[in-house]
Amino acid sequence: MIFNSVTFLIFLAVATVLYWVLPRKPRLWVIFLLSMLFYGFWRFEFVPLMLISSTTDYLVARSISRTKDQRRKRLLLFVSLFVNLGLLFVFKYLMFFTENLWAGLALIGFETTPPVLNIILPLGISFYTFQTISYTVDVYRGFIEPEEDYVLYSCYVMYFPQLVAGPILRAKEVITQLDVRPDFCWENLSTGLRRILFGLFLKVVLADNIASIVDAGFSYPVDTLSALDVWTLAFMFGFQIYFDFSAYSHIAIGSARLMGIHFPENFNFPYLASSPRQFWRYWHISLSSWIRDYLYLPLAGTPVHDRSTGGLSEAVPERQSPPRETRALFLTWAIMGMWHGAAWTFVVWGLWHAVLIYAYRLLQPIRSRLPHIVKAITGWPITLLLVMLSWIPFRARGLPETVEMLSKTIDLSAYRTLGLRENTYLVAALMLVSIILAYLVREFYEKLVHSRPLIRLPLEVAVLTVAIGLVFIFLRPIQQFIYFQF
Amino acid sequence: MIDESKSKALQQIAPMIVAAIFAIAALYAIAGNEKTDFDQFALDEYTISFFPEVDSYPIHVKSLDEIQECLAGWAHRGRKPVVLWLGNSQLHAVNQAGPHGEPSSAKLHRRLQEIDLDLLTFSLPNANLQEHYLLFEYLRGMMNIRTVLLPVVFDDMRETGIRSEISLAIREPRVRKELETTALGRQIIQMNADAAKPDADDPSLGGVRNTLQEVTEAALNNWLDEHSTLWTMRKDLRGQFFTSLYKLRNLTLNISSQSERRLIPGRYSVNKEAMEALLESASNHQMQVLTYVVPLRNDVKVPYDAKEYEKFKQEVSEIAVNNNADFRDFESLVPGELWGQKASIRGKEGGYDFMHFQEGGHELLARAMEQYLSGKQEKHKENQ
Repeated sequence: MIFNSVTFLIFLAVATVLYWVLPRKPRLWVIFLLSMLFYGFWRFEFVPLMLISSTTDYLVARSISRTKDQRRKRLLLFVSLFVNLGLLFVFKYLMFFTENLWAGLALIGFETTPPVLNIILPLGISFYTFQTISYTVDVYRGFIEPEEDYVLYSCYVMYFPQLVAGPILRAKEVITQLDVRPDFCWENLSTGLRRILFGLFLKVVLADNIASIVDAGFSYPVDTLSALDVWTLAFMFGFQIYFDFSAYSHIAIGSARLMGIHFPENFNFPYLASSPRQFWRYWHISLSSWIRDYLYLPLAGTPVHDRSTGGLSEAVPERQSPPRETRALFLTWAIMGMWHGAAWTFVVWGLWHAVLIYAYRLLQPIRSRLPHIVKAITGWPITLLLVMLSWIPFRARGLPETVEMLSKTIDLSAYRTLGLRENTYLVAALMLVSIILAYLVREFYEKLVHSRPLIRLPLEVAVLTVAIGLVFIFLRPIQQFIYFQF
Repeated sequence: MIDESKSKALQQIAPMIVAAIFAIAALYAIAGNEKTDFDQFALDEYTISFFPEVDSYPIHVKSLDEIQECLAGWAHRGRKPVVLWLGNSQLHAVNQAGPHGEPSSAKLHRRLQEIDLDLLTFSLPNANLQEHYLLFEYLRGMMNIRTVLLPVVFDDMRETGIRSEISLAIREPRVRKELETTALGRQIIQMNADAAKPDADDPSLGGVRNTLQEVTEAALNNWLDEHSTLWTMRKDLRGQFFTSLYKLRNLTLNISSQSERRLIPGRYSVNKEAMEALLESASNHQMQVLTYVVPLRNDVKVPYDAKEYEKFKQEVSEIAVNNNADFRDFESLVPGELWGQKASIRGKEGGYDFMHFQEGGHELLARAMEQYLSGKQEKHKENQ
């Protein structure tokens, strides 16, 4: 089910009322069944696939906990990984793998007709697969005890607000909240509604309207674009994906909050980060925290955490990169890229960020000698430009277009003209200014306004009136969320 | 204690309830009772649109919905060979017109009847050449088209994409088949994939197409449409919102009808490709095309870069000639006194309207077309 729809708003209202009126056992059953219904609104035939993945981990985790034999534990963990990653491979990467295999065979002279595969990517498979893997690994590591109640466990995996596009949660953070319902609290209701409203505003008013400008820009022949156009398109897509994905997170967090359940934050003004490391502490925090604990730190041989906050770089020690850590960094980022999609452009995007973080580490000794003010002034714009440019491989039609577009940015003669509609530059500039203003409002709101109800209340009502009005006129499932395709 | 908790609850929820009431009241006030005519709105108060009819059958249309009636009229008049005139608002808008203004399409239609030709005019505000290409392929299979009149407009080379109202033409299998023969046609199909689906009636459901949610969402939308006038007015309100943003931009950045419009390379290139595809298709089907540079008010400073405008004229003439089409430059066809005013966003003092002329200008354009078509008709008869 898509959030930006009347169907979801009605579904959420019904789910919230049932959640608060039912006692524990039927309440959990209702969440479980409604979550399957939520998924089934897309395609019911893929519900069993999700159940296979989650049931495997339920059974494997219980077996791991019961056995004392370390080798058997490892074998069971392997079974879980094999099933989960196997399903992910078949549904997400098999076509890509086959295409590349056949292309590789053709290169060495074996010309055969490739098999025709037509595989539908199940919605949210990358998200729920990572969530179930984290559960089993956490049991294996001894961070948590396996959950005996199948329905409660399934509610953790399939809880509808986060099922399709995250945040990717840890069992420890959610199962206890689902198990014991907190007392009803108006603050949760109010905060939940505001987060949903804000998320819908970002999606239906901003992201969906920017989408047409971005789609048009990336559809032009690349030779008609100037260097400034490439930069502008990179920024525009950067804003679109940020509004779109953070909107999903806001609505997910808000929907859970209506039921008194607290999800960790998934975004925190990432485009105001002053270093590539900081960016990954603020962008898709639950995924980067997952990658940190289940991939990067084990590969780098560093102790792991058991929480979905902090982001990818938080736990990495400040030091020059020794070879193992460097290998781990690049491998992690290549996988991070592939997680987003089965295409080489996503690998390029991942490696781009690996290079940024690696370069940042190498420059750290020089950077530490600079005065704070210089670091602050230079860090933000450089990070912003490099992060935004990384969206080109993410969004471009293919590798040749990516190379062509990126080449423009280093060709000084390509800076002389403008090739997009004037409004595109204007919208890009306005979006950047708006993000900075929103950050300042958040930072200073408490200090300046919160304690003065005569200013706060009319201001709040005015902002909410505009937001409700705009969401009302733009609410329609005209486009999916970008992260549905991952 | 209970009072304190109730008061806190009220403080948290009350602003949302008040805001929801204010928002609904404000939307009702903005929406008003009548739907906004955005085509007319864009033209402003000095310019009026006319879509003429003959014997109650439309001869000049702006949507696919009117085509069947148009065909009935053509059959009623004896199925004469058709001249198809595609264009932008210049064809249907008359500047400083009286209530009975007549655009060139009506004038030309009347005169062509005398030489055994019929005329169908299809014009859309700011129509680009991709849209003309799609419309041409759509209409080509419906009537016996002998000649196509294809205006090329520098301003419209800055536009791109297919608007949803006409993207439905892609649903026709014969249109899709024809589009698939060109790279641009395939791109048009791909970019309008949702509209191409036979059951895709509502483009706003693109994100849930072919899912159970499409059914529930459509049902809920229909129910809301029936029971809430405000819900029905949402499309209109979206239009008003964007119009306000557009006005705000013009006011803030001091943009007027005289502000210079530069060529947009990406869009320009796609439109040239569309023009080539249309001309090639017409040539393959033995149809004559007259490509012409539209009349432009040039007694005052033209709002284009002179070099870009000259390059545009040069290039479209080359494309026409290379694809067996005729080419005319009608830039100076309408003298300055027959052009009109455009209300400025900064008040009623007005600015120059570079696209829409008065009825006298329509007469000149109709005459120029008549002259061209009479010559062609005579040659055609001689060849027979």
